Amino acid sequence: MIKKIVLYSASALFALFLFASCNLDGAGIFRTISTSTEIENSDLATEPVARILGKDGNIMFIQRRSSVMYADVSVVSPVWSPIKLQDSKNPDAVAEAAYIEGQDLLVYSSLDPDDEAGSKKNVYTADLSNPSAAPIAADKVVASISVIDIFSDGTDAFVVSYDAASDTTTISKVDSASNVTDMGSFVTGIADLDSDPKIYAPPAMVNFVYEDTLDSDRHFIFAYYDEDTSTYRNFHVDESAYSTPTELTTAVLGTDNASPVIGAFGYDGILYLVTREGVLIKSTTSAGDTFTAVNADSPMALAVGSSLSFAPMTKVTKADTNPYILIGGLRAIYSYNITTPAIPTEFTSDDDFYTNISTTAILDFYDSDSNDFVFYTATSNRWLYKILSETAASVQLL
Amino acid sequence: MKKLSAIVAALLMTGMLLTAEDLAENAEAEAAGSEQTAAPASFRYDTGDQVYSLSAGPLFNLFIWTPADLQPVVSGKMKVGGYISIGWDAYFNHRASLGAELGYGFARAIDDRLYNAVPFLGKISYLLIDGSFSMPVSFSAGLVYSSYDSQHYLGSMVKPEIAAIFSLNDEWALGLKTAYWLIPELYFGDNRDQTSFGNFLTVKAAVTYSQQ
Repeated sequence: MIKKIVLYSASALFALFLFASCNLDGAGIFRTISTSTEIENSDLATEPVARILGKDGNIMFIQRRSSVMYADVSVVSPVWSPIKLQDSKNPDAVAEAAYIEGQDLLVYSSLDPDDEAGSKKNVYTADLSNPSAAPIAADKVVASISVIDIFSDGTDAFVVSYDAASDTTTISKVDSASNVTDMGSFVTGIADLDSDPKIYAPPAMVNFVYEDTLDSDRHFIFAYYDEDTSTYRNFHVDESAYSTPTELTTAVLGTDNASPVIGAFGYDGILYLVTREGVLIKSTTSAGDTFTAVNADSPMALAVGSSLSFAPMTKVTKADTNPYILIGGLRAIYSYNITTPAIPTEFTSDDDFYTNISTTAILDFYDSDSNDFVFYTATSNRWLYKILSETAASVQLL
Repeated sequence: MKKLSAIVAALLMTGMLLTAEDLAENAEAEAAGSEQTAAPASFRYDTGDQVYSLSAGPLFNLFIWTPADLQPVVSGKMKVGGYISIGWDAYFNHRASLGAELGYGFARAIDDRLYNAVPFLGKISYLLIDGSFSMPVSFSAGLVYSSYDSQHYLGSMVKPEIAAIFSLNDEWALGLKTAYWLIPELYFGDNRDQTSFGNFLTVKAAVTYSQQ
């Protein structure tokens, strides 16, 4: 009798469990598995791809750990090879890098071997027109500076550096002939440590925007951590005045300024910024001096309590032929309909392209033609994916 | 409709378990009351005997069938995994039994993401060969909870199995079991193209204990 009671109770609980958990979310377990792709090279796939640097035809360049690697991504299973870089004395481990697509030129930083403190870097250029050459000669163009990041606008590279002694943030341009020009610099006076003498804060993160359609200016968005107030302070500079930063206050942004800007993108003369709190902000003019918050009341879950410092953004065209801004985060991609503005919408595993990348942080996007839904993404799950369309499973390339 | 089917399956399975339990209890009572009618010694099992088993072994994905896809049969997408289960059977004559099985299976897809399966099955078995070496065949059906990444699915499963069992003594036995799993993952309406069928093979080592 007791056994029957136990069995009936168990079956009742089981039936309850059925009602509660028969959730058929997702694109289908076995269907997802049937589209999974093997890691072609376990040695390469042990670390995330930090940045997709760009493409030259079918050859894609990526930065992974301290290497720049390349592969023909038009084939089914690309074979990735490291590029061997070396100056006259040393093989160079890459710290920050940017690839000038139109010039086949890599601009990168590497730790200065002569700096005993190990904090300064040299900036090099290297011709990647023949990436399989070994080694590729690297020309030192700037010596021993504190590089924060390097960006490319397709014609030149821009090196952002910081001098702690003078609390100076500097933007330098490296052109295709490896000439270096200081474009401007500024001092913030933001405290890094509450000490005497005062120690100032370097940029915690920098975002670069260049779209070259309705807005041909280069824009830089800086975020500094202010020890005095325990908040972030965001600044904007553009080509018109690289030495005159405009602080993006709460009143300017239309939302709380304490959160750092971790993503920036430009389209049709509008600057789109994303804060770590998940608020999308867009400028009302290309000058980027007046902004409105799109979703201050419904922020995106981009960082989810982590210290995520970069939210990649790109623009695609979806099947409805509308342009959308994509915003990547920790285990999430959001889309923002530019034509019919609303708050950003998160993709789910019901979106076929998203299934293979749904449980990983989005580290970078690369999109050479924003008039379709074909692009590349690097993920923290160590792999690089090509997105073929909204309705097809994404293809693993690394 | 889907939930209704699952509930019916659950109730059927419960009924199967209760029937087996009743049979076992009735047989025990009969055996106690009439010693003279005991089964001949040539049969290993008698009505009311119960067998408990623990099995473990590799889990192989044979192929995945996705009827709506251009290439509907896909194989080689999962690595070899494992399966462990506990089972219970109650004989309702010398050769046939009803029982149940609860297990846990796992296998990684080739991109290293983990597939988990927790089957809860009702089972009917028949001894093709009886004696110190026995060969039971069985057919199991029931529910399986599957998970993969953020996806979860509670569905049905069927499992035909054949085993080779070698008796060590009256109570203990060792054996090998091999089974085929069919796990339908059914979707309806706009999502019907997501319907797929997982097909697996297990080969397990088993140890059984008979309570007579």
